[in-house]
Amino acid sequence: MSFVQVEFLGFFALVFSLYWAIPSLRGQNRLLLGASYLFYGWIHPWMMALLGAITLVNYLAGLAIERRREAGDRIVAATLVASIGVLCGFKYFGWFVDAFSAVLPESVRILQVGLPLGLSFYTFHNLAYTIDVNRQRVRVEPNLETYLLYGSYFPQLVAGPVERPSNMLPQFNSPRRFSLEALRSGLGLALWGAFKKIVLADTISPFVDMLFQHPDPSWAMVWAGAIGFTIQALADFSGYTDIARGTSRMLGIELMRNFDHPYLAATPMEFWQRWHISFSTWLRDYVYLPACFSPFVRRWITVPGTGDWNPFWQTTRALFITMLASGVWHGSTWNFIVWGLYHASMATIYTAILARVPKKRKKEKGWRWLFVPIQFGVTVLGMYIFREPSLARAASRLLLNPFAGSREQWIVATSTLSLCLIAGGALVAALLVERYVWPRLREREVGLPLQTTLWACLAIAVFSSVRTTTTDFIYFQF
Amino acid sequence: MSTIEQLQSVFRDVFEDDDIAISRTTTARDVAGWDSVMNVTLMISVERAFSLRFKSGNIAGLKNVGELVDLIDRLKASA
Repeated sequence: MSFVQVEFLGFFALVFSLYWAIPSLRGQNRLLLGASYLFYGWIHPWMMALLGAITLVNYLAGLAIERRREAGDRIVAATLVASIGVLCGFKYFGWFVDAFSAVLPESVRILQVGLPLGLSFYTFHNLAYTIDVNRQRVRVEPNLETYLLYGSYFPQLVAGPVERPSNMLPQFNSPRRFSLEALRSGLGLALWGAFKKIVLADTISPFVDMLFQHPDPSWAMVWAGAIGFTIQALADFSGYTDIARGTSRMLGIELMRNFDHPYLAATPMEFWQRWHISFSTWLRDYVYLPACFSPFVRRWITVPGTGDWNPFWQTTRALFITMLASGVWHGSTWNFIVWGLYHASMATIYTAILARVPKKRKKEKGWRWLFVPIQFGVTVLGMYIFREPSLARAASRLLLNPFAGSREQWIVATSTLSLCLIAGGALVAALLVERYVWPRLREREVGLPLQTTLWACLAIAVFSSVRTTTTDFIYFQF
Repeated sequence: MSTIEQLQSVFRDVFEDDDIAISRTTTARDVAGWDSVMNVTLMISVERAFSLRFKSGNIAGLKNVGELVDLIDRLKASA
Protein backbone atom coordinates (compact mmCIF):
# COMPACT_ATOMS: atom_id res chain seq x y z
CA MET A 1 0.00 0.00 0.00
CA SER A 2 1.27 3.47 -0.78
CA PHE A 3 0.72 6.67 1.19
CA VAL A 4 -0.84 8.33 -1.86
CA GLN A 5 -3.44 5.64 -2.52
CA VAL A 6 -7.00 6.31 -1.39
CA GLU A 7 -6.98 2.92 0.42
CA PHE A 8 -4.31 4.28 2.75
CA LEU A 9 -6.66 7.00 4.02
CA GLY A 10 -9.23 4.37 5.05
CA PHE A 11 -6.54 2.07 6.44
CA PHE A 12 -4.97 4.82 8.54
CA ALA A 13 -8.31 6.17 9.80
CA LEU A 14 -9.23 2.67 11.01
CA VAL A 15 -5.82 2.01 12.62
CA PHE A 16 -5.81 5.47 14.25
CA SER A 17 -9.31 5.02 15.75
CA LEU A 18 -8.69 1.52 17.07
CA TYR A 19 -5.21 2.43 18.32
CA TRP A 20 -6.35 5.23 20.59
CA ALA A 21 -9.36 3.20 21.74
CA ILE A 22 -7.05 0.49 23.10
CA PRO A 23 -6.02 1.29 26.67
CA SER A 24 -2.95 -0.97 27.02
CA LEU A 25 0.53 -0.52 25.56
CA ARG A 26 0.69 -4.21 24.65
CA GLY A 27 -2.62 -3.99 22.79
CA GLN A 28 -1.51 -0.88 20.92
CA ASN A 29 1.78 -2.53 19.91
CA ARG A 30 -0.05 -5.66 18.72
CA LEU A 31 -2.42 -3.55 16.63
CA LEU A 32 0.51 -1.65 15.07
CA LEU A 33 2.28 -4.95 14.35
CA GLY A 34 -0.78 -6.46 12.65
CA ALA A 35 -1.40 -3.22 10.73
CA SER A 36 2.24 -3.08 9.60
CA TYR A 37 2.14 -6.60 8.13
CA LEU A 38 -1.24 -5.88 6.49
CA PHE A 39 0.19 -2.64 5.03
CA TYR A 40 3.21 -4.48 3.67
CA GLY A 41 1.40 -7.57 2.42
CA TRP A 42 -1.42 -5.59 0.78
CA ILE A 43 -0.17 -6.25 -2.77
CA HIS A 44 2.03 -9.34 -2.39
CA PRO A 45 1.32 -11.36 0.76
CA TRP A 46 4.47 -13.46 0.27
CA MET A 47 6.55 -10.35 0.96
CA MET A 48 5.44 -10.62 4.60
CA ALA A 49 7.46 -13.85 4.89
CA LEU A 50 10.62 -12.08 3.71
CA LEU A 51 10.05 -9.17 6.10
CA GLY A 52 9.41 -11.62 8.96
CA ALA A 53 12.52 -13.67 8.12
CA ILE A 54 14.90 -10.65 8.01
CA THR A 55 13.43 -9.30 11.25
CA LEU A 56 13.62 -12.66 13.00
CA VAL A 57 17.24 -13.27 11.97
CA ASN A 58 18.28 -9.93 13.51
CA TYR A 59 16.19 -10.50 16.65
CA LEU A 60 17.89 -13.89 17.18
CA ALA A 61 21.29 -12.36 16.41
CA GLY A 62 20.70 -9.77 19.17
CA LEU A 63 19.85 -12.49 21.69
CA ALA A 64 22.87 -14.57 20.63
CA ILE A 65 25.22 -11.57 21.03
CA GLU A 66 23.82 -10.93 24.52
CA ARG A 67 24.51 -14.54 25.52
CA ARG A 68 27.96 -14.82 23.91
CA ARG A 69 29.61 -11.39 23.90
CA GLU A 70 32.97 -12.86 22.88
CA ALA A 71 31.40 -14.13 19.63
CA GLY A 72 29.66 -10.80 18.91
CA ASP A 73 31.77 -9.81 15.90
CA ARG A 74 31.30 -13.21 14.28
CA ILE A 75 27.53 -13.13 14.86
CA VAL A 76 27.34 -9.63 13.35
CA ALA A 77 29.41 -10.81 10.36
CA ALA A 78 27.10 -13.82 9.80
CA THR A 79 23.98 -11.63 10.10
CA LEU A 80 25.47 -9.09 7.69
CA VAL A 81 26.29 -11.78 5.14
CA ALA A 82 22.80 -13.33 5.42
CA SER A 83 20.88 -10.03 5.29
CA ILE A 84 22.99 -8.29 2.65
CA GLY A 85 23.15 -11.56 0.69
CA VAL A 86 19.35 -11.67 0.43
CA LEU A 87 19.28 -7.99 -0.53
CA CYS A 88 21.94 -8.44 -3.23
CA GLY A 89 20.21 -11.58 -4.50
CA PHE A 90 17.04 -9.64 -5.24
CA LYS A 91 18.70 -6.40 -6.26
CA TYR A 92 21.35 -7.69 -8.66
CA PHE A 93 19.70 -10.84 -10.03
CA GLY A 94 18.76 -9.07 -13.28
CA TRP A 95 22.30 -7.71 -13.67
CA PHE A 96 23.76 -11.16 -12.98
CA VAL A 97 21.56 -12.79 -15.63
CA ASP A 98 22.42 -10.10 -18.20
CA ALA A 99 26.14 -10.34 -17.47
CA PHE A 100 26.32 -14.14 -17.60
CA SER A 101 23.50 -14.91 -20.02
CA ALA A 102 25.91 -16.72 -22.34
CA VAL A 103 26.74 -19.38 -19.76
CA LEU A 104 23.45 -19.59 -17.83
CA PRO A 105 20.83 -22.21 -18.63
CA GLU A 106 17.52 -21.13 -20.21
CA SER A 107 15.59 -21.91 -16.99
CA VAL A 108 17.60 -19.23 -15.10
CA ARG A 109 17.60 -16.66 -17.93
CA ILE A 110 13.80 -16.51 -18.14
CA LEU A 111 13.37 -15.91 -14.40
CA GLN A 112 12.01 -12.47 -13.54
CA VAL A 113 12.95 -11.45 -9.98
CA GLY A 114 11.61 -8.09 -8.82
CA LEU A 115 12.93 -6.17 -5.82
CA PRO A 116 10.49 -6.48 -2.90
CA LEU A 117 9.28 -3.05 -1.81
CA GLY A 118 11.37 -1.52 0.97
CA LEU A 119 13.74 -4.50 1.28
CA SER A 120 16.83 -2.25 1.47
CA PHE A 121 15.27 0.01 4.05
CA TYR A 122 14.15 -2.64 6.50
CA THR A 123 17.37 -4.61 6.00
CA PHE A 124 19.44 -1.56 7.04
CA HIS A 125 16.98 -0.76 9.81
CA ASN A 126 17.31 -4.26 11.29
CA LEU A 127 21.08 -4.41 10.83
CA ALA A 128 21.43 -1.17 12.81
CA TYR A 129 19.95 -3.05 15.78
CA THR A 130 22.30 -6.04 15.55
CA ILE A 131 25.40 -3.85 15.15
CA ASP A 132 24.36 -1.49 17.96
CA VAL A 133 23.70 -4.42 20.33
CA ASN A 134 27.20 -5.67 19.57
CA ARG A 135 28.64 -2.18 20.09
CA GLN A 136 26.69 -2.02 23.36
CA ARG A 137 25.02 1.19 22.28
CA VAL A 138 21.59 -0.31 22.78
CA ARG A 139 20.22 -2.98 25.10
CA VAL A 140 18.95 -6.20 23.61
CA GLU A 141 15.16 -6.29 23.13
CA PRO A 142 13.91 -9.51 24.76
CA ASN A 143 10.26 -9.15 23.71
CA LEU A 144 9.68 -10.70 20.28
CA GLU A 145 6.49 -8.72 19.61
CA THR A 146 8.20 -5.41 20.36
CA TYR A 147 11.13 -6.31 18.15
CA LEU A 148 8.90 -7.45 15.29
CA LEU A 149 7.18 -4.07 15.54
CA TYR A 150 10.56 -2.30 15.46
CA GLY A 151 11.42 -4.26 12.34
CA SER A 152 8.17 -3.60 10.49
CA TYR A 153 6.59 -0.35 11.79
CA PHE A 154 4.50 0.70 8.77
CA PRO A 155 5.02 4.52 8.59
CA GLN A 156 8.75 4.08 7.97
CA LEU A 157 8.80 0.57 6.52
CA VAL A 158 9.09 0.98 2.76
CA ALA A 159 11.25 4.09 2.29
CA GLY A 160 12.52 5.15 5.68
CA PRO A 161 13.60 7.14 7.57
CA VAL A 162 16.11 4.37 8.32
CA GLU A 163 15.57 4.56 12.06
CA ARG A 164 17.84 3.60 14.95
CA PRO A 165 16.94 1.20 17.76
CA SER A 166 18.02 3.79 20.35
CA ASN A 167 15.23 6.09 19.11
CA MET A 168 12.50 3.55 18.37
CA LEU A 169 12.68 0.79 21.01
CA PRO A 170 12.27 3.12 24.03
CA GLN A 171 9.20 4.63 22.31
CA PHE A 172 7.66 1.19 21.65
CA ASN A 173 8.26 0.28 25.30
CA SER A 174 6.75 3.46 26.80
CA PRO A 175 3.04 4.19 27.35
CA ARG A 176 1.69 6.66 24.81
CA ARG A 177 -1.05 9.18 25.50
CA PHE A 178 -3.27 10.85 22.93
CA SER A 179 -2.32 14.47 22.38
CA LEU A 180 -4.36 16.97 20.38
CA GLU A 181 -1.18 18.97 19.73
CA ALA A 182 0.58 15.90 18.27
CA LEU A 183 -2.50 15.14 16.14
CA ARG A 184 -2.59 18.69 14.76
CA SER A 185 1.13 18.84 14.15
CA GLY A 186 1.23 15.35 12.59
CA LEU A 187 -1.77 16.04 10.36
CA GLY A 188 -0.21 19.30 9.14
CA LEU A 189 3.11 17.59 8.40
CA ALA A 190 1.43 14.72 6.51
CA LEU A 191 -0.68 17.18 4.49
CA TRP A 192 2.39 19.22 3.57
CA GLY A 193 4.15 15.99 2.56
CA ALA A 194 1.22 14.98 0.34
CA PHE A 195 1.24 18.47 -1.22
CA LYS A 196 4.95 18.21 -2.03
CA LYS A 197 4.52 14.77 -3.57
CA ILE A 198 1.21 15.08 -5.42
CA VAL A 199 1.11 18.76 -6.35
CA LEU A 200 4.80 19.63 -6.78
CA ALA A 201 6.73 16.45 -7.64
CA ASP A 202 4.05 14.79 -9.77
CA THR A 203 3.45 18.01 -11.73
CA ILE A 204 7.15 18.34 -12.62
CA SER A 205 7.58 14.61 -13.25
CA PRO A 206 6.10 14.42 -16.84
CA PHE A 207 8.25 17.37 -17.96
CA VAL A 208 11.38 15.74 -16.53
CA ASP A 209 10.52 12.38 -18.13
CA MET A 210 9.98 14.07 -21.49
CA LEU A 211 13.28 15.97 -21.29
CA PHE A 212 15.32 12.90 -20.29
CA GLN A 213 13.66 10.70 -22.95
CA HIS A 214 13.90 13.29 -25.72
CA PRO A 215 15.94 11.83 -28.63
CA ASP A 216 17.51 15.15 -29.62
CA PRO A 217 17.47 17.73 -26.81
CA SER A 218 19.24 21.08 -26.78
CA TRP A 219 21.76 21.99 -24.06
CA ALA A 220 19.15 24.15 -22.30
CA MET A 221 16.69 21.23 -22.32
CA VAL A 222 19.30 18.93 -20.76
CA TRP A 223 19.95 21.34 -17.89
CA ALA A 224 16.25 22.16 -17.47
CA GLY A 225 15.67 18.40 -17.11
CA ALA A 226 18.49 18.12 -14.56
CA ILE A 227 17.19 21.07 -12.50
CA GLY A 228 13.64 19.72 -12.79
CA PHE A 229 14.72 16.31 -11.51
CA THR A 230 16.63 17.98 -8.67
CA ILE A 231 13.47 19.76 -7.49
CA GLN A 232 11.27 16.71 -8.16
CA ALA A 233 13.56 14.39 -6.17
CA LEU A 234 13.46 16.66 -3.12
CA ALA A 235 9.70 17.26 -3.27
CA ASP A 236 9.03 13.56 -3.81
CA PHE A 237 11.33 12.07 -1.21
CA SER A 238 10.92 14.72 1.48
CA GLY A 239 7.17 14.59 0.80
CA TYR A 240 7.19 10.86 1.47
CA THR A 241 9.20 11.39 4.67
CA ASP A 242 6.84 14.10 5.91
CA ILE A 243 3.83 11.80 5.41
CA ALA A 244 5.70 9.05 7.28
CA ARG A 245 6.68 11.35 10.15
CA GLY A 246 3.26 12.99 10.28
CA THR A 247 1.28 9.73 10.44
CA SER A 248 3.70 8.36 13.03
CA ARG A 249 3.41 11.52 15.14
CA MET A 250 -0.37 11.09 15.15
CA LEU A 251 0.25 7.64 16.68
CA GLY A 252 2.48 9.21 19.36
CA ILE A 253 5.77 7.95 17.90
CA GLU A 254 8.37 10.45 16.69
CA LEU A 255 10.52 9.54 13.67
CA MET A 256 13.82 11.28 12.94
CA ARG A 257 14.07 14.19 10.52
CA ASN A 258 15.29 13.05 7.11
CA PHE A 259 15.71 16.35 5.22
CA ASP A 260 16.92 19.72 6.43
CA HIS A 261 16.69 22.07 3.41
CA PRO A 262 19.53 20.31 1.56
CA TYR A 263 19.71 22.81 -1.30
CA LEU A 264 20.82 25.49 1.18
CA ALA A 265 24.01 23.52 1.86
CA ALA A 266 27.23 25.41 1.16
CA THR A 267 29.61 22.43 1.05
CA PRO A 268 29.46 18.77 -0.08
CA MET A 269 29.69 17.54 3.51
CA GLU A 270 26.94 19.89 4.63
CA PHE A 271 24.75 18.57 1.80
CA TRP A 272 25.00 15.03 3.19
CA GLN A 273 24.17 16.33 6.66
CA ARG A 274 20.92 17.70 5.20
CA TRP A 275 19.92 15.14 2.51
CA HIS A 276 18.43 11.73 3.40
CA ILE A 277 19.89 12.23 6.87
CA SER A 278 18.84 8.84 8.23
CA PHE A 279 20.67 6.97 5.45
CA SER A 280 23.68 9.33 5.41
CA THR A 281 24.18 8.86 9.14
CA TRP A 282 23.64 5.09 8.72
CA LEU A 283 26.45 5.04 6.16
CA ARG A 284 28.58 7.24 8.42
CA ASP A 285 28.18 4.99 11.47
CA TYR A 286 28.25 1.56 9.80
CA VAL A 287 30.44 2.03 6.70
CA TYR A 288 32.48 5.26 6.88
CA LEU A 289 33.71 5.00 10.48
CA PRO A 290 34.60 1.29 10.21
CA ALA A 291 36.42 2.16 6.97
CA CYS A 292 38.47 4.62 9.03
CA PHE A 293 38.94 2.93 12.37
CA SER A 294 38.54 -0.83 12.14
CA PRO A 295 41.70 -2.68 13.26
CA PHE A 296 41.76 -4.55 9.93
CA VAL A 297 41.87 -1.33 7.90
CA ARG A 298 44.43 0.24 10.23
CA ARG A 299 46.81 -2.61 9.57
CA TRP A 300 47.10 -1.76 5.89
CA ILE A 301 46.92 2.01 6.03
CA THR A 302 49.60 2.64 8.67
CA VAL A 303 52.79 4.06 7.22
CA PRO A 304 55.44 1.33 7.69
CA GLY A 305 58.01 2.06 10.35
CA THR A 306 56.27 5.11 11.82
CA GLY A 307 52.95 3.62 12.94
CA ASP A 308 51.52 6.95 11.86
CA TRP A 309 48.93 7.78 9.24
CA ASN A 310 47.72 10.73 7.26
CA PRO A 311 44.18 11.87 8.18
CA PHE A 312 43.57 13.34 4.71
CA TRP A 313 44.28 10.09 2.87
CA GLN A 314 42.46 8.09 5.50
CA THR A 315 39.26 10.15 5.22
CA THR A 316 39.57 10.23 1.42
CA ARG A 317 39.85 6.45 1.24
CA ALA A 318 36.89 6.03 3.60
CA LEU A 319 34.84 8.59 1.64
CA PHE A 320 35.38 6.76 -1.64
CA ILE A 321 34.53 3.39 -0.05
CA THR A 322 31.35 4.84 1.49
CA MET A 323 30.13 6.68 -1.59
CA LEU A 324 30.94 3.71 -3.80
CA ALA A 325 28.84 1.53 -1.47
CA SER A 326 26.05 4.11 -1.69
CA GLY A 327 26.26 4.12 -5.49
CA VAL A 328 26.23 0.32 -5.73
CA TRP A 329 23.26 0.21 -3.37
CA HIS A 330 21.27 2.57 -5.60
CA GLY A 331 21.63 0.27 -8.61
CA SER A 332 23.74 -1.96 -10.80
CA THR A 333 24.14 0.49 -13.71
CA TRP A 334 27.36 2.47 -14.15
CA ASN A 335 25.72 5.85 -13.65
CA PHE A 336 25.10 5.06 -9.95
CA ILE A 337 28.72 4.06 -9.43
CA VAL A 338 29.93 7.22 -11.20
CA TRP A 339 27.43 9.23 -9.13
CA GLY A 340 28.94 7.84 -5.89
CA LEU A 341 32.50 8.51 -7.04
CA TYR A 342 31.51 11.99 -8.23
CA HIS A 343 30.22 12.96 -4.78
CA ALA A 344 33.29 11.47 -3.07
CA SER A 345 35.50 13.47 -5.46
CA MET A 346 33.61 16.70 -4.76
CA ALA A 347 33.99 16.20 -0.98
CA THR A 348 37.71 15.44 -1.40
CA ILE A 349 38.32 18.47 -3.62
CA TYR A 350 36.51 20.69 -1.12
CA THR A 351 38.56 19.30 1.79
CA ALA A 352 41.80 19.82 -0.13
CA ILE A 353 40.87 23.42 -1.00
CA LEU A 354 39.73 24.16 2.57
CA ALA A 355 43.08 22.98 3.93
CA ARG A 356 44.76 25.73 1.88
CA VAL A 357 42.42 28.54 2.96
CA PRO A 358 44.09 30.91 5.48
CA LYS A 359 42.82 30.68 9.09
CA LYS A 360 41.32 34.19 9.04
CA ARG A 361 39.27 33.55 5.90
CA LYS A 362 37.72 30.37 7.33
CA LYS A 363 36.02 32.38 10.07
CA GLU A 364 34.35 34.82 7.69
CA LYS A 365 30.73 33.79 7.38
CA GLY A 366 29.84 36.04 4.43
CA TRP A 367 31.36 33.53 1.99
CA ARG A 368 28.64 31.03 2.76
CA TRP A 369 26.08 32.58 0.42
CA LEU A 370 28.57 32.52 -2.41
CA PHE A 371 29.06 28.79 -1.95
CA VAL A 372 25.35 27.84 -1.73
CA PRO A 373 24.70 28.32 -5.49
CA ILE A 374 28.00 26.57 -6.32
CA GLN A 375 27.00 23.58 -4.19
CA PHE A 376 23.55 23.63 -5.80
CA GLY A 377 25.25 23.36 -9.20
CA VAL A 378 27.29 20.40 -7.89
CA THR A 379 24.05 18.79 -6.70
CA VAL A 380 22.26 19.35 -10.03
CA LEU A 381 25.09 17.73 -11.97
CA GLY A 382 25.03 14.81 -9.52
CA MET A 383 21.28 14.45 -10.01
CA TYR A 384 21.75 14.41 -13.77
CA ILE A 385 24.28 11.56 -13.52
CA PHE A 386 21.93 9.77 -11.11
CA ARG A 387 18.96 9.96 -13.48
CA GLU A 388 20.71 9.33 -16.82
CA PRO A 389 21.56 5.61 -17.14
CA SER A 390 23.78 6.02 -20.24
CA LEU A 391 27.10 7.66 -19.34
CA ALA A 392 28.05 8.14 -22.99
CA ARG A 393 24.77 9.96 -23.66
CA ALA A 394 25.20 12.04 -20.48
CA ALA A 395 28.69 13.14 -21.53
CA SER A 396 27.69 14.01 -25.09
CA ARG A 397 24.64 15.98 -23.95
CA LEU A 398 26.47 17.98 -21.29
CA LEU A 399 28.98 19.04 -23.94
CA LEU A 400 26.36 20.38 -26.38
CA ASN A 401 26.59 23.97 -27.62
CA PRO A 402 24.86 26.10 -24.91
CA PHE A 403 23.55 28.61 -27.45
CA ALA A 404 22.14 26.19 -30.00
CA GLY A 405 18.48 25.18 -30.10
CA SER A 406 15.28 25.85 -31.97
CA ARG A 407 12.58 28.23 -30.74
CA GLU A 408 10.46 25.26 -29.60
CA GLN A 409 13.39 23.79 -27.65
CA TRP A 410 13.93 27.07 -25.80
CA ILE A 411 10.20 27.24 -25.00
CA VAL A 412 10.24 23.69 -23.55
CA ALA A 413 13.34 24.47 -21.46
CA THR A 414 12.03 27.77 -20.12
CA SER A 415 8.59 26.25 -19.36
CA THR A 416 10.22 23.54 -17.26
CA LEU A 417 12.44 26.06 -15.50
CA SER A 418 9.40 28.25 -14.77
CA LEU A 419 7.69 25.25 -13.21
CA CYS A 420 10.83 24.60 -11.13
CA LEU A 421 10.79 28.23 -9.98
CA ILE A 422 7.16 27.90 -8.86
CA ALA A 423 7.84 24.62 -7.02
CA GLY A 424 11.08 25.96 -5.56
CA GLY A 425 9.23 29.13 -4.53
CA ALA A 426 6.67 27.03 -2.64
CA LEU A 427 9.48 25.22 -0.78
CA VAL A 428 11.23 28.51 0.07
CA ALA A 429 7.92 30.06 1.20
CA ALA A 430 7.34 27.08 3.50
CA LEU A 431 10.81 27.54 4.99
CA LEU A 432 10.19 31.25 5.62
CA VAL A 433 6.79 30.55 7.21
CA GLU A 434 8.27 27.83 9.42
CA ARG A 435 11.21 29.95 10.58
CA TYR A 436 9.88 33.51 10.75
CA VAL A 437 6.10 33.71 10.44
CA TRP A 438 4.67 30.77 12.38
CA PRO A 439 6.70 31.33 15.60
CA ARG A 440 5.16 34.86 15.78
CA LEU A 441 1.60 33.73 15.03
CA ARG A 442 1.53 30.50 17.02
CA GLU A 443 0.38 32.07 20.29
CA ARG A 444 -1.92 34.69 18.76
CA GLU A 445 -5.65 34.29 18.33
CA VAL A 446 -5.34 34.44 14.58
CA GLY A 447 -2.86 31.52 14.54
CA LEU A 448 -5.31 28.62 14.66
CA PRO A 449 -7.77 29.93 12.02
CA LEU A 450 -4.86 30.76 9.71
CA GLN A 451 -3.34 27.33 10.16
CA THR A 452 -6.68 25.60 9.51
CA THR A 453 -7.25 27.70 6.38
CA LEU A 454 -3.79 26.82 5.09
CA TRP A 455 -4.42 23.12 5.69
CA ALA A 456 -7.76 23.35 3.91
CA CYS A 457 -6.02 24.96 0.92
CA LEU A 458 -3.36 22.23 0.93
CA ALA A 459 -6.02 19.50 1.13
CA ILE A 460 -8.01 21.03 -1.76
CA ALA A 461 -4.84 21.30 -3.84
CA VAL A 462 -3.90 17.69 -3.04
CA PHE A 463 -7.31 16.19 -3.81
CA SER A 464 -7.78 18.23 -6.96
CA SER A 465 -4.33 17.16 -8.20
CA VAL A 466 -4.64 13.43 -7.53
CA ARG A 467 -4.42 11.68 -10.83
CA THR A 468 -5.79 8.24 -11.54
CA THR A 469 -2.23 7.03 -12.09
CA THR A 470 -0.19 8.75 -9.41
CA THR A 471 3.53 8.17 -9.87
CA ASP A 472 5.20 5.95 -7.29
CA PHE A 473 7.68 7.54 -4.93
CA ILE A 474 11.13 7.71 -6.56
CA TYR A 475 12.83 5.87 -3.70
CA PHE A 476 10.48 2.86 -3.89
CA GLN A 477 12.77 1.45 -6.61
CA PHE A 478 15.75 1.26 -4.24
CA MET B 1 45.41 19.26 33.12
CA SER B 2 41.91 17.71 32.97
CA THR B 3 40.74 15.64 30.00
CA ILE B 4 38.42 18.39 28.78
CA GLU B 5 41.19 21.04 28.96
CA GLN B 6 43.53 18.79 27.02
CA LEU B 7 40.72 18.10 24.55
CA GLN B 8 40.14 21.83 24.10
CA SER B 9 43.68 22.33 22.83
CA VAL B 10 43.16 19.44 20.37
CA PHE B 11 39.97 21.13 19.12
CA ARG B 12 41.76 24.48 18.69
CA ASP B 13 44.53 22.81 16.78
CA VAL B 14 42.28 20.74 14.48
CA PHE B 15 39.78 23.50 13.72
CA GLU B 16 42.50 26.17 13.60
CA ASP B 17 40.53 28.42 15.91
CA ASP B 18 42.08 29.65 19.15
CA ASP B 19 38.73 30.97 20.39
CA ILE B 20 36.98 27.60 20.57
CA ALA B 21 35.72 26.92 24.10
CA ILE B 22 34.21 23.49 24.60
CA SER B 23 32.08 22.12 27.41
CA ARG B 24 30.50 18.73 28.07
CA THR B 25 27.37 19.80 26.19
CA THR B 26 29.17 21.00 23.04
CA THR B 27 28.00 19.19 19.90
CA ALA B 28 29.07 19.18 16.24
CA ARG B 29 26.49 21.88 15.54
CA ASP B 30 28.30 24.28 17.88
CA VAL B 31 31.68 24.11 16.14
CA ALA B 32 32.02 25.52 12.63
CA GLY B 33 33.42 22.95 10.22
CA TRP B 34 32.85 19.89 12.43
CA ASP B 35 31.59 17.55 9.72
CA SER B 36 32.16 13.83 9.06
CA VAL B 37 35.56 14.39 7.48
CA MET B 38 36.80 16.74 10.20
CA ASN B 39 35.39 14.36 12.81
CA VAL B 40 37.81 11.65 11.67
CA THR B 41 40.72 14.13 11.68
CA LEU B 42 39.65 15.18 15.19
CA MET B 43 39.47 11.59 16.43
CA ILE B 44 42.91 10.77 14.99
CA SER B 45 44.31 13.86 16.74
CA VAL B 46 42.61 12.83 20.00
CA GLU B 47 44.15 9.36 19.68
CA ARG B 48 47.60 10.90 19.28
CA ALA B 49 47.16 13.43 22.11
CA PHE B 50 45.95 10.83 24.59
CA SER B 51 47.95 7.85 23.25
CA LEU B 52 44.95 5.60 22.76
CA ARG B 53 43.12 3.77 19.99
CA PHE B 54 39.44 4.11 19.14
CA LYS B 55 37.26 1.52 17.48
CA SER B 56 34.52 2.62 15.07
CA GLY B 57 31.94 1.34 17.56
CA ASN B 58 33.33 3.72 20.20
CA ILE B 59 32.92 6.78 18.02
CA ALA B 60 29.63 6.08 16.25
CA GLY B 61 26.79 7.50 18.27
CA LEU B 62 28.80 9.92 20.42
CA LYS B 63 26.31 12.70 21.13
CA ASN B 64 28.49 15.44 22.60
CA VAL B 65 31.90 16.34 24.01
CA GLY B 66 30.85 14.97 27.40
CA GLU B 67 30.47 11.47 25.95
CA LEU B 68 33.85 11.81 24.22
CA VAL B 69 35.49 12.84 27.53
CA ASP B 70 33.91 9.82 29.27
CA LEU B 71 35.13 7.53 26.47
CA ILE B 72 38.69 8.90 26.72
CA ASP B 73 38.69 8.47 30.50
CA ARG B 74 37.34 4.93 30.18
CA LEU B 75 39.93 3.91 27.59
CA LYS B 76 42.75 5.52 29.60
CA ALA B 77 41.65 3.68 32.74
CA SER B 78 41.50 0.33 30.96
CA ALA B 79 44.88 0.80 29.19
